[in-house]
Order: sequence, then C-alpha cells, then structure tokens
Amino acid sequence: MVAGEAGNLVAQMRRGVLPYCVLAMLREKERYGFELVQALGAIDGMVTGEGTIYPLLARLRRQGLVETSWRESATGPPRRYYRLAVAGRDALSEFTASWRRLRDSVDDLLASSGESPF
Amino acid sequence: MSAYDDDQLIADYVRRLETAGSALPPDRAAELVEEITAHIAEARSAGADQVGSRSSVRNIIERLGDPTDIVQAAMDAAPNDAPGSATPATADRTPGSATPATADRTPGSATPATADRTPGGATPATADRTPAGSIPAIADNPPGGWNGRPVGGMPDGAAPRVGALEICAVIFLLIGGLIVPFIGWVVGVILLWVSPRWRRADKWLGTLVWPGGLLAPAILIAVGGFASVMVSSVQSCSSSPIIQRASQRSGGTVTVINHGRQAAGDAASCSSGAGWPSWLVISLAVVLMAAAIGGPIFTAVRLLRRARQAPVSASAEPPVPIPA
Repeated sequence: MVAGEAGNLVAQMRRGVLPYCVLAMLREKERYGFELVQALGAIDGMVTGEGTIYPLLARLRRQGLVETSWRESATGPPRRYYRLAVAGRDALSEFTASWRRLRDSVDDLLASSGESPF
Repeated sequence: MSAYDDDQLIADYVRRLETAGSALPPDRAAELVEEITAHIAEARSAGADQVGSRSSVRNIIERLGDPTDIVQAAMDAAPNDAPGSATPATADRTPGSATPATADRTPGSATPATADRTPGGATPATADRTPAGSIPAIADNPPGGWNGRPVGGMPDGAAPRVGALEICAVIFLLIGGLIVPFIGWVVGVILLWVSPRWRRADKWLGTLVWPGGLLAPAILIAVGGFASVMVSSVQSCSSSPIIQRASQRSGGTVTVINHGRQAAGDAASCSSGAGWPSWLVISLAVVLMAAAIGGPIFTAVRLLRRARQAPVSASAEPPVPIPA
C-alpha cells in the first residue's frame, strides 16, 4: 500500500454505498429525481457530478429496488417520483446491519491502542 | 448573461450528452437525456427567484458534471449493453501502477470507472476482487433478481483479535459467581450483552447455560457433600435417635427422612441411607455434575470462538443484495 491510495479506496467505497444511500433517502417518503439529486449533491463528497445519479436511479429501477410514478407538476414538466419497493426495503435493512458491523469493527481497530492476549 | 446565452449553454450541454450517449443503447440514452433536461429545467425554475441567478445555468451544468462521466456511469450500470465496457472489475484489473491516486481524472470521483484507473495497490483492489466484496462493483444483475453474494468482511483473512470486553465477559460468566457470589456472574451477563461481537443467539446461550456459571456446580458440590455427610450420619439407622423417633411416630412403618430424600420401608433398608440404590444416586450425581460443569465451560469456549470470528461473518450472514 502506498500513501495516497486511501483516497482511491474511499472513492470506491463511496461508489459502493451510494445505491444504499439513495435507498435510505427513500425510506420515509417518496421523492422525485431532482430532489434526490439535490440532496445527495449537497452531501460533501458524495458525488462529483450530480448527473451521475440518474443512471444509478435507472439501475435501481431496473433491478426492482425502487418503483417510480409520474406526477404532474405545476412548475414544469412531469416529475418522476421514486419510492422504495419491498425488495429495496429488504436490501436497505440488510445493508444497514452489515454496514454498522463493518463500521464498528473498523472503528474499533482504528481506535484500539492495546493488544489483547488473544 | 441573457436568456439566449443560457439556452445556448443548455443546448451545447445536451448535445454533448447526446454525443456521448451514442455509446449507450438508444432507449437508455434518450431516457438519460430526458432526465437531465428535466433536471436542468427544474433547477432553473427552482433557482429563478434567487438573487444572482444570472450564472445559475452555468452553475447547474457544472454541478451536473461532465457528460462523458454521466454516460460512463450509465455504462457501468449496465455493462451487458454497452459494447466493450465490461464489469468495472475489468477496469480494476489494470495493473497497479505507481501513479498515485491523484492521477485519477476526477479525484474523489464517485463515478465508477475513473476512480478505478489507478487501482493503486492491495487494499482497494482486494476489496474489488474478493468475490464477496463486490460493493464497489456496479454490475447490472439479471432482471428480477440481485446478486445474492454476501457482503464481504474485512478484505483479507486476518483473524480479528478477541476484545478485552469479550474476555472479561467470559471470565465473569464462568467464575465471577465464585468470586463474588452471583453478582460476579451478573456482571458477566451484562458484559456479554453489551458486547457487539456476539449474535443474539450466542448471548442467550451465554445467559442460560448455566445461570451462575461455575458457581452452580460449586453449589451442587457443596450441597452434595453436605448431603452425603448427612447420609453417612444416619447410616447406622438402628441406633439413630432420629429413626427411632420416626418409627415411634408413624407406628409400624419406618419412614427414613434423609436430607430431602424420603423412602418408605423397614429399618433394614436404611443401611444405604436412602430409598434409592446407591449406584443410581452416584451416577445421577455424576451426570448432574458433568452437565453443571461442562455447560458453562462449553458455553465459554463457544463464546470465545464466536468472538474470534470475523465480525462480519460472510458465511453466517444472510446474503446482502448487491444492486450495485
């Protein structure tokens, strides 16, 4: 490992968790595309280009993790609203559990200062 | 900036997007262009009443990012369709060059392929290559299903250390009850449940087998020792005042009361000290002791083994869908 590769790893990790972040944002209520993109783009470092989120949304749709519906909007073109499908909800809860375990383990390892006899 | 310039900017951007999108299947490309266009329109109307919105279209486009990145993301999302763009793992296999991460075209980018151009060494690449660690891979999946491969744990097989918390929990569970009666064991239970390293089933096992840890067999030994003392003290029952008194009270039938065990019979049977044959009593005692001692020890060993396993045990977890 060379110093500086951490950035690469973090970028890959961001890429990996991004679908689940999208699912998490749909947990409480449905949202339309622009809303999702804005919210994700506002989170520091989540994406470089907001436009790349749209292909991700399309993929989630194709995989049946989210469902969409079109609604008329008073202020412009019809909006595509996204909501979690049952499969998406399951995927999200499984990811949440795994992520928390991983996160806690890594935190422990990074923070631990002593060796245990085992 | 006039409205014409704004429209010009948008038109240029969309044209670039369409050009890049020719690498995609036409329906995907059209859908993408439509969504991006709608996004721009939405963003414009959202920002219309903001002060300083003159440059907002430029801002919107900048935030959207490079059209080639967007199309690349679409290709990575559907590797089966776009020609020549295999799963991102292909991009990952470019040999780890010495170029540092900063050589990435878009540093810190979340778009799939660009960050992979310089895989940069063991750790990130391993995270991509382990079959279970396919979180970063954004391979499309067969319609209607998802990749059932479990989420990988730590990238390599280094056995995690058992934490101090876990060790204390096991120690307290096992012998805490001996050191500080009962309370010591309760401390063990608390530590057991606090630890994140054990699954719920393991925690119940630790609590129920057996309550008190090794205190329980210790008590049993004490009780059993006491009992056997009592037994031997009434062994010569013919001269025992207790028996004589009992025989007087109950008339013809002698009831030998022997420290909790009762047997009806005449005086001749009291030489064994109990109504049960001694071999039965002894074997029962042995079995009981084996269970009482073996139980906590087995539990302790099992808990330690479990704590030593990788915290995210790929084989034990339910498969996590990888929509990526």
